Amino acid sequence: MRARVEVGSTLWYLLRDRVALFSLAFLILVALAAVFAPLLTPYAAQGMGDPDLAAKFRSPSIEHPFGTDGLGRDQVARLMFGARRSLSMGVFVVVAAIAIGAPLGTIAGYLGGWVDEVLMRITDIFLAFPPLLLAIAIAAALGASYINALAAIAATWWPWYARLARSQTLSLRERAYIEAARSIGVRDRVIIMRHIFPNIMTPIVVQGTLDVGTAILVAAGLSFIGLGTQAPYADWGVMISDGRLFFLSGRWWLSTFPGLAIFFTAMAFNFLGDGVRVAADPRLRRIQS
Amino acid sequence: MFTLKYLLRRLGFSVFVLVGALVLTFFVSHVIPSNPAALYAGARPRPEQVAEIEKKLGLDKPLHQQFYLYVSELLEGNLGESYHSRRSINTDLSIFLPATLELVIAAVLIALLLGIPVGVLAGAWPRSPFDYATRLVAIAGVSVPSFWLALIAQFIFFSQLDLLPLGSRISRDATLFYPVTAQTGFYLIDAAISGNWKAWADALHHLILPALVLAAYPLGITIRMIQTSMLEALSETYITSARAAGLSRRVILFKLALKNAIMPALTVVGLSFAYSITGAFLVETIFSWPGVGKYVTEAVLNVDFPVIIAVTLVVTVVYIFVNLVVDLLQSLLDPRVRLA
Repeated sequence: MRARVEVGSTLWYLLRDRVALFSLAFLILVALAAVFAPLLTPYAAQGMGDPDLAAKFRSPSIEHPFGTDGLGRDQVARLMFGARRSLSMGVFVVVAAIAIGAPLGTIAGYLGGWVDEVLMRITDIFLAFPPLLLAIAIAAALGASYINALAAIAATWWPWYARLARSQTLSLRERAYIEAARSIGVRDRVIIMRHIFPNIMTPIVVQGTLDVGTAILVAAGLSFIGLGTQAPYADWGVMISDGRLFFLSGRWWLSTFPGLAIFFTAMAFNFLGDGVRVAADPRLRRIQS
Repeated sequence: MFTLKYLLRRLGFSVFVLVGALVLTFFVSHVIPSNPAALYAGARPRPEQVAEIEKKLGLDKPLHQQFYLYVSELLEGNLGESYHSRRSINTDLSIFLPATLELVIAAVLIALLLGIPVGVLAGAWPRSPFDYATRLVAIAGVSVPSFWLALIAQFIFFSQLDLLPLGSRISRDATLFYPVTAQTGFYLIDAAISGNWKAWADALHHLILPALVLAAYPLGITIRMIQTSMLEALSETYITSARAAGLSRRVILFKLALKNAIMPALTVVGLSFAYSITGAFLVETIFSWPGVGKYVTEAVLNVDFPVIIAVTLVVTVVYIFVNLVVDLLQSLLDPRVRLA
């Protein structure tokens, strides 16, 4: 019951935050463009990677608002199909990292003792690597592809959620209602599933929303150096990389638009995440607005 | 004494994560790949090459013996050989690592020198236009893809304004007419030591644009962290009592709140370093900056796996060391850290 009231007031507060709402609307638009790309563009085949050599390197016009690339592919179509990969990658990385990290962190925090010690030392090791670098090594070991890049980034990201879940669990474990449940003999599994997990999800979801933007940036980085999506498909990182060699010789539209797409999308996730963070924390509400 | 106990514990932790990093990179290079030997042999290897590498890495032996081989090679200081160029990775890194560190340190300096004062002021004047502008800049900094920003920066400052060079560490004229004698590998330091001021200015000229681009992300992080901690400090009860006691706004902001808000500044140093390194992996190629980032990017293109693993390990060791120094400095400044 308590949790539901908090979600209600959080949503109410978020609805009053114009920047967060605008960001959400933008992200929904991008997601819709990605999902309905085949219906929205006359160049669906080019969006999926088919060349149209007769139309190569067209500068932006009414027919091709963002121009065409070296294989004559309409950049608007390319961007919409690329959004499928870039957006889904960002979301899936965070979802996978939460799916691994949150349960591990909760168990570590709840059980304490050597389980906690071992799990936390493992997170220490993962966090000893600069971000991205370990993901590059894992992606290179697995071989370059969209799914391997996703796995590589998620594999380096889960420790953050494990730590967050652990610290949240630690603070809940000492609460009277948990102690009461334990003293009347409720099993650990039930306590974790029913009383701890639902209550620690708010901060984890907040962090997750903030992280999707960063995940999109990291994924674009891997794609940019050739460890993500492979031709003929493209995501936004690949498009920047493809356009880079022509960028300074006058074909500015090739890298500019996919870069703006990443930039605006990551920014929208950051604004939205910030909004959710402030809305979910009564203390921050007081300080920040 | 607390400091000694803390020092030993902190050193022990660094050794632990170092060993952990060895295990993890071993796992990534020997256990995850379906055929590690083929990976180490590079693109399209001949069968006898694969067999030779299998023998060298001991891949027919049990894992713990493979790990022993892996670690003993590394302890001898041998990082292996690039598949692609057949050069020793040690030699390559001794040239590339200082180049990257010079760039990264410049970026960290920019991020801190700009980010800390801006964050403090934004936190001190909440809801002012300056606060809103700062938040926008901070979020833009952590949202912009660094490699794209690099291209845009080249377009503006090289193609359009012709103010700054397109890339590389130093101009060809400098290498021909007033070459820098390598000592530390940091061009700015080497040139300064030998009093080669023409080369120094030239190197600085080349450093500005890549360093600014790299600084974008850590700058955003720095501003946000300092601003948040300033806001938090200002909402503490001791500030309220100071206000109630009638202390002036200036004293409250810059004497009381700032002291506590500046504490995370050292944490920000570690983070800035991490993110600048990360950025360097993506940006160096664009600026033809001959550092480890460009080295790794090329290794990825050439499927040069030994290089990727060696760089991962070496850069992580540097990162662990930086974090150690940051933590020790923090414990010197803030007694709460060493008592914890």
